[in-house]
Amino acid sequence: MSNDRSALLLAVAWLVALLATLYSQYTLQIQSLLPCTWCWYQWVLLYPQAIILGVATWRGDYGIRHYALPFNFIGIAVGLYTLSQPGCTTNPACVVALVALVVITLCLAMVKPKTLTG
Amino acid sequence: MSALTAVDRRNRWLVALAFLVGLVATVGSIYYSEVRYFVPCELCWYQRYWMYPQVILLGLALLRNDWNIKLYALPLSLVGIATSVYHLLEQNFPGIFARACKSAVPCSIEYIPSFPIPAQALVAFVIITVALLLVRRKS
Repeated sequence: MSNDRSALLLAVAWLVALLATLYSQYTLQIQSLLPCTWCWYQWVLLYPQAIILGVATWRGDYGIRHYALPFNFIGIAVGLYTLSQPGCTTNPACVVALVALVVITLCLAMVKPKTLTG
Repeated sequence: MSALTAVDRRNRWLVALAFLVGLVATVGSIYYSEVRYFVPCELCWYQRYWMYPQVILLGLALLRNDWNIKLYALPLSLVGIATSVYHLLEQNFPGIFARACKSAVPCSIEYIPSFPIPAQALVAFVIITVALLLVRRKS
């Protein structure tokens, strides 16, 4: 029961990371909107999660939150600072990334930690 | 904590090596952009995206003696190798991918021609990849 819930939360966290990553690529490649430097730094904390949370979802590894949560905490801090910088809201993917990091944090915070062995 | 086995100790060395390489590459890249003011191109940023997380992942794994980390860090370093190779090809054969670089500077720019930065990144990614491949997960 609670395992089903954790599996769902982890899958949602991964999908949010993936969609926010794809959206940032859409703004960049299709709309040609250049992000500011801080926005680029913020994405450092987002892009890897599209891979890491995908592997964890596939393995059913809820222990990934020990690794993924620090990414989100740092990412949210960078994201909030980014919002205060001039020219950093031109690309909406910067704000979307911040929202995504918050959603991922909430999902992972509700995942019951159970580390896989082997 | 229970005593470390011989395999654990071997894994520790390998993960510590990968962590140090990732740390040097991360600090070096921040030095290049924030101290030397080398503006990163789009492909440079993507290489950072697969390098910086190694420091967090491998650093935490070292603290926790968690060797399953290779399942997470290896995909990142493999994508990193692909990105560095792509960047080096773009630099040496401009336009072969017929793709404009979406950043303030072109991806063909090179600040250190004697040892191109994507080549530095490639060396780091390869060392991390080999070290992680040698890590033995618990059976």
